[in-house]
Amino acid sequence: MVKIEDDIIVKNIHGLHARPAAIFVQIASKFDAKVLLSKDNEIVDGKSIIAILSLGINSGTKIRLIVDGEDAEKAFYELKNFLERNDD
Amino acid sequence: MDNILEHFDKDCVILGLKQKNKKTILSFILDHLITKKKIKKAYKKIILKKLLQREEMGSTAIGGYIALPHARVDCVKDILICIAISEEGVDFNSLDGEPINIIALLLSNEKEAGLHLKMLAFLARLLRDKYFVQQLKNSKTQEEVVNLINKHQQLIR
Repeated sequence: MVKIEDDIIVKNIHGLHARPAAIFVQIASKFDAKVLLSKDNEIVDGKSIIAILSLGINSGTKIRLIVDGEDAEKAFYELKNFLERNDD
Repeated sequence: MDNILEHFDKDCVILGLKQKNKKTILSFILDHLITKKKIKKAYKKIILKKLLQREEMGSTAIGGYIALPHARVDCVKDILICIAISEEGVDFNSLDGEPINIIALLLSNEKEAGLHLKMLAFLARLLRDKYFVQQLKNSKTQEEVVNLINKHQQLIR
């Protein structure tokens, strides 16, 4: 099993509001790996839109992305890319 | 965290929601808010249009029997929240295909992007708790809903 985790600064322009959260979950759900997001010591399921929304992640917020599973490497890369894009 | 009850009272609660689809449900909620003098009748059309435009980009019925329709409009002062409940469940075109029991509508002023996300996060914190959603769903009076939310928001602070 592969586990990758790192801090990421969210660049999505309005933060992870409902639509980007839904897209994040869509990407995360393509993979078998477990995906977790953590902010201020609170860890939530990265495959649940409501859990992600509940963190209230603004643009510029530092969060920790934790991906654990066989396909963790690819999943981590795609999710990190999405969080660091600033087009929405 | 902002106190939700500053933006919410029993007039913002609808029980026994029965409408058949997204448009009629949202229209019904807005009519209720007009009757309770929370929004002006003249603004209904534009608010409904914005809410439906948002739904077209992707349903806000995000699973777990809840929906969070929302829009930022310049005709609302800061924040307005309305909780509409259907014990049997209504069709809101949810992402997981399940019926919706709780619709938490959020309207924010155009300028309140920060507060908007904070309130969305707050509603998500309330409604990610399945037991709480069940309690809301079984509420019999508007006062009961206000009390439940007040009690629960103290727990999740």
